[in-house]
Amino acid sequence: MIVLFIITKILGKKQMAQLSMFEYVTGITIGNIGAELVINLREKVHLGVIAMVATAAIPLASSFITMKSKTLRNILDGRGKVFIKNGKVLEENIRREKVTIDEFLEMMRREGVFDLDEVEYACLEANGTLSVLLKKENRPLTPKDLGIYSPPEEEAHTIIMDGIILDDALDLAGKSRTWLKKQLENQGVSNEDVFIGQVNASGQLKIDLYNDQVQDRGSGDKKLLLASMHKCFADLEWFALAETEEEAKQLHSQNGERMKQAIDKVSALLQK
Amino acid sequence: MDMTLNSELLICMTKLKAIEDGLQTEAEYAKDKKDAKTYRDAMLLVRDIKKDMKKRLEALK
Repeated sequence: MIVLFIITKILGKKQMAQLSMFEYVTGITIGNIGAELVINLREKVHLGVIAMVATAAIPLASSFITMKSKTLRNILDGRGKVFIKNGKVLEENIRREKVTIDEFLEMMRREGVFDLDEVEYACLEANGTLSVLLKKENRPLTPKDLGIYSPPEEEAHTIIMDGIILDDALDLAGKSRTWLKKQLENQGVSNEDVFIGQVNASGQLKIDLYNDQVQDRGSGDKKLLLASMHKCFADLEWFALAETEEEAKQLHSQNGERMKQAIDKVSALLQK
Repeated sequence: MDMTLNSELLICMTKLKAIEDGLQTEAEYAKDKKDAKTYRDAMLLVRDIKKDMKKRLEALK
């Protein structure tokens, strides 16, 4: 187990994520040798370990060789196969990769493509994933398309974790404890109430509390509520003018007054 | 004219319901009892308006 663990560490994370055909075969072989060792404990263990190390050396050597030679890289790691070129589906290539039409459509859907007409280029990569390039008119707009300059964005810094202030991260974010204390006071919480707190790229503090019930409601919601009340008040005044019956006019007018009273009551609270 | 008024009244009813729910939520999240009572008083006023509006809509049917 220890030898297997060390070998896996040496071979790298790639063994556990995207395996090439060659790495896949090596992984199975090492696993088989390991299993043989466990079952036949009375046999010479050191020979099994040597076999495992020798097998593990093969992908290491092949990684080195494939870095140097493109031809060997194509043979050992395989090559990508183009499935769609200039918007045309290349059926022959799909067939050669032994992919059925249903599997091909499923791969496209996984990439968020439900209409083949939107695709300019699609390629099945050597590791089995599908890469898709949409036609220009179907690609999402970027700030560059609109001629907008967008400055590089910094990563968010986690400055509170499990209620504990992380001073190193606070320094990295360029903020002080005093600033943090003030921000938390503004939100009516202390650092002990915070499950996770981050300073985002624009320098704002975003927090998630242990008790979501005490999370302060956003001021945006309150302002929207107040605006809706004002809008409703205007509607009631309009009804009072639009109605033809005198009784109905009075009803709407009276309700307008009620709405005005409600607005006056909560206006100060909703503007906080 | 009646058709327009009827539609507008219906839309207003929906808005009133949203306002009522909003005030109710604010009352639940209020930081103290005084604020919660203020929100509830406003909510009751909105509820009364909603009742009147419902009666008017039934009369227009």
